Amino acid sequence: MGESARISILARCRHVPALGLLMGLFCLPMDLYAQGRVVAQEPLDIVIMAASHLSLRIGTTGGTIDRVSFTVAQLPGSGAVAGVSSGAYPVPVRASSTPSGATKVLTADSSTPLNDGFGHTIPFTQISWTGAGGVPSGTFTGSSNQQIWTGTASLGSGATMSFFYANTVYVPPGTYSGRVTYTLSSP
Amino acid sequence: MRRMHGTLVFSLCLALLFCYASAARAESSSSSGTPTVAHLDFRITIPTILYLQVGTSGATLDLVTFTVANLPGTGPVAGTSSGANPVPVRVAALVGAAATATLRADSSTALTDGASHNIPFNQISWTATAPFTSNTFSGAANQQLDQFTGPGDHQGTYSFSYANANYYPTGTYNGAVTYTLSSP
Repeated sequence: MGESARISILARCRHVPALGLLMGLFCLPMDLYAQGRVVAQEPLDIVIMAASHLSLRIGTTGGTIDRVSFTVAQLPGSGAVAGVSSGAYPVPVRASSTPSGATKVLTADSSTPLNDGFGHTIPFTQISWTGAGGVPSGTFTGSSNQQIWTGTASLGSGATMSFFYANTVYVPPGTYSGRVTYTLSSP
Repeated sequence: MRRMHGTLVFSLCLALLFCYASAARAESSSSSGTPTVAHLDFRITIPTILYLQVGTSGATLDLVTFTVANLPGTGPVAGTSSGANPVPVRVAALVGAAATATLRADSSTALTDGASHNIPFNQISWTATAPFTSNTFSGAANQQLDQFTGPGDHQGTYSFSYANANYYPTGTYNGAVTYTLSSP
């Protein structure tokens, strides 16, 4: 590995916007040289594709944020309660990028529990979803940076989430509201 | 003239930037950029629910039977239920944080043998497991047994006993107690 390898790395990495990452890849062969650990010299092709444009939609198209509602009718412990959306249901998920093959990571911030406005809360860990069309199923962790999905493909038609409320906690009657923020990023 | 031209180009750039930003914000649940965010709201509606179970679950009333084998005054007689033994008791309440759920018993109608002979319910007691309280029926229509505050699920058991302290005509005496759970 010599100049050809480094040149190849540089040539392939011209799409990487982060200068730090570029410098790190460039310096790697030099470090190996310094330690005398390079035993073969082969051209090294590394392609890291970062998106320059990302698009994300959770719910129906339009300016209104969809709301998934759960109406409890039984005691806690008697089974999960399926959600009903103010928009399309199951909730559509669309995630895409330019270039289309860029690595994408979808995360959720569910760190603020649902509340009834009177100091009573329900943690988002009570809400799960069944994914379809490439969306994995899961349960909110109540954290600010839960990874929901990652991939290089897009989430398109057929990608949906169906939500459920576990209904295992005893809380005062009322209407509890909360919001989850989804973030689509490209490393 | 050169200055005016420069000013015009700058304005166009601002206009283009404004249009792009507006497009990105046009949908609050869908936006573009790196990274980009979307929101989803959730709502859970919790009703008020009071649940009371004394005996096994289901529609059948359990029957607690005391079979006396010794003279009165020789000690209480333990009861045996037609359902689970000891008798399961459950009070579950989805009520306000400061609201109470009160368990009461109506034992005002004495056990009877069908021949005008009665045994008052104050001859029957029970030993409860926490969080319920051990007690003896008072024979009143509105005897308070336990009270809980706030939402919760309370489960325990009752083990009944007949005092066998008085002399009654021989026979089979039947009676029913009605339990009520209420929240103001």
